[in-house]
Amino acid sequence: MSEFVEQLGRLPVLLAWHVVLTVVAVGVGVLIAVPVGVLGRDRAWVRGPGLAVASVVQTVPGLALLALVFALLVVLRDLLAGWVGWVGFSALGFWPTVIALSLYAVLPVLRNVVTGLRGVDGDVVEAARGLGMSRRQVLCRVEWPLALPVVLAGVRTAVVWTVGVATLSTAIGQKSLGDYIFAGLQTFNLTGIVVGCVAAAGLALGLDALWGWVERGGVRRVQKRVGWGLSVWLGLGVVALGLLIGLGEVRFASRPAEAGGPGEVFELERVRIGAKNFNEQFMLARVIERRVEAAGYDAERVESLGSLNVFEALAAGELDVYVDYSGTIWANAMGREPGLGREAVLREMTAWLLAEKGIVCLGSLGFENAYALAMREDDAERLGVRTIDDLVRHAPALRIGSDIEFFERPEWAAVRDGYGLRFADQRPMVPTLMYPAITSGEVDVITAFTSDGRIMRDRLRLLMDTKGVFPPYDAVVLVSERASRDERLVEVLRGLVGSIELGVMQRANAMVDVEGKSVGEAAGWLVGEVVSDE
Amino acid sequence: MIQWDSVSKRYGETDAPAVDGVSLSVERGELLAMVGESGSGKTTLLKMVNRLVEPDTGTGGTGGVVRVDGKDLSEGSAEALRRGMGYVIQSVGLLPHWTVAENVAAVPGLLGWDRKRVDRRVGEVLKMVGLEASLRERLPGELSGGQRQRVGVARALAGEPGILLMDEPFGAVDPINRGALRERVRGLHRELGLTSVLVTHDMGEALLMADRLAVMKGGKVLRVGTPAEVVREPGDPYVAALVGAPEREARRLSGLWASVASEGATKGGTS
Repeated sequence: MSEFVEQLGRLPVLLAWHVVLTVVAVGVGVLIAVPVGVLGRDRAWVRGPGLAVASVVQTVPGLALLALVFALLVVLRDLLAGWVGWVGFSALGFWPTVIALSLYAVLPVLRNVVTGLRGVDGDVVEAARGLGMSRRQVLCRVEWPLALPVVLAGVRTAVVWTVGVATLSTAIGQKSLGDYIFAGLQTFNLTGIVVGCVAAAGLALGLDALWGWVERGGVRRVQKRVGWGLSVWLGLGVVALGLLIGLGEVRFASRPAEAGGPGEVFELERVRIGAKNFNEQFMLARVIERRVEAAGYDAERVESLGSLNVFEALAAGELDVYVDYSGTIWANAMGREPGLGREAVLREMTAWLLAEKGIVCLGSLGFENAYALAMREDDAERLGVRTIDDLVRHAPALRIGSDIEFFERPEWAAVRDGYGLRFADQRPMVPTLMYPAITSGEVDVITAFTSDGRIMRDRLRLLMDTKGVFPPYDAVVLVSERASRDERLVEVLRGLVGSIELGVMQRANAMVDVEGKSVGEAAGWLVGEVVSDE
Repeated sequence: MIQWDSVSKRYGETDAPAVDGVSLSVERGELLAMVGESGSGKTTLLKMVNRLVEPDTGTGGTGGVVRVDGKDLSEGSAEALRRGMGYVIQSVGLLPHWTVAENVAAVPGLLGWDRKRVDRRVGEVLKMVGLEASLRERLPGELSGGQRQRVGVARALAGEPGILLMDEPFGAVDPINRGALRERVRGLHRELGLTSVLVTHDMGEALLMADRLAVMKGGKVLRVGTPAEVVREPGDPYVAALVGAPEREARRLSGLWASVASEGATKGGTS
């Protein structure tokens, strides 16, 4: 019950963000769709491409579109920065979300604007022209008001869609009702998932009903002469609101190189801490947060980011600090083959990050969270599998489950080709679900993380990587170029290096995953365990 | 005065011309009816006057021109031209999202009259066409066919036009109201000194209302003349057949009335 109350406590803020995102995105979508629809009514060369582009956008999965817009914004910002110096918009959070959602909202509105305008009785239009109305007057006073019910129905569709897609914006660091769902999926917290889904569905139904009321009651009044004017003012108002909120966001975004000449002390006011989308990351972000807050900084956590998103965000200065794993950087960002030892990987990676991205790697937290293949203990015993090599013979009859990105990662190619592994089936899923999946026999092998407390709980056997195809995965503290100029902050963060042993991290993970404690609780315990040099 | 000077109109390259080299004129204060079946070109000819249809350019630099009071219509703005002409079409022509008053006030509004004057004028023209002021706030969808058509006439007259163009204006009106409405329109035409063009497929209506009529077929004018002239000398088998139809009807009807009357007289005599 208290859990439920705790979840509800976050509702107002998340709901408010969700409403703002929906309203702004639909508003922008309408402002794009209406001119294109009006111009496209009689011009196939506008209508055809317009509808085609909108339809294609619609077919791109929501998460992919969000990540795509984020990546494009980063590129765009770097380009602009090259021309005019510093450009201060954030490529994470509000803007990419609004852009992606607006693109989604365009199609239903555009289609209905075109349908609505083309559906107006030609005799009525001719009568209006016969009265001496100009084309513009016919459009504003006759065609638009008569098409309005159809247009409003399109906006209604757009609103409902947008509420749904907006839940995905969590993945690029935007607060929304999706935070409940993402975090809930992560920790297998049904209460969170249910609260998120019910709230999102309720919001969709509520806005739908509200819009229905506008359509019924409002159309008659709006259809009169004010139709055009009111529509335009409504749209502009909504976009103005969005701009205001966006400007508010910009203040949070990267500031220019305010570090002056040598000798001047640069202090970051607010430290943005990133976290990928799993519990260990949530806890580590909180550990960092406590530490920098204790040192007098403002801190903000941006959680549930995709693995690539979070790295790019740090490189782009959207984030100031987060914890990544050496093997991930090694294989993904650097594109290197495994084969080197822990120390060598750490050394080369640190040099590469500084040279290529300006990112400062402070060092390892003191534990490794490596990828490893795991099987049910009884299966492994029965088949006589101790190493990955032993598995090769049995693999064609087995199914492997993994987190969503593993099969796309170079590590998978390395382990697959290094050993010649072929499974009967590959099933990507949310990491939290891998454990129920293997214990219930849905899959036979999973890609576990060595720091995970559930390996012991679920009696899984980790298979030895005798050929050394998995790189080492030291948990390393990465600091952005900008934040690294704040020497005091760097010293504060450096205190974390070597402060968490594998056993401690496993224990903290087990508290959440096995004992069902909240991330906050476990993080609190972890903070206490952190070896302090002070 | 309206003048069509050898005008033609072809809608598609391969189609037969909708109007084929027609020259015709309407004198000031006259009511001309254009009669013919659908596709005869009468509506196209009418729409050239308010430029909803532009005539094809003439050959060799002559013709292809419509003039009003000697002035070539293609010079100047089409919108200004239309605001100076009344235009009545079948009831669909009312803007369905505007009330009766708003529909009637359309042209005065476009002409930029002040509110008071518009308001007064709406009252006047509604009275002229015999509509009660209580209907002002109704939507077209809430009116009968006859009422709608009266609103259409009122709207056409609201801007104090000198020219009245009517395209099948009585089509959607029931027979009882149709007669009354025809008389009223004919009366307004005369009282207001309008120059009017009426397009109809009903020869009876044309004969009853027009000062002169032009019978059309296949984009050409077959016969022009006063009702009496056309009846007396159709000059063409098609025109004769067209004129003959209402005449035969009228004969049979008057025969019916005569027999009913004589029956009544006989009954009256014996009782």
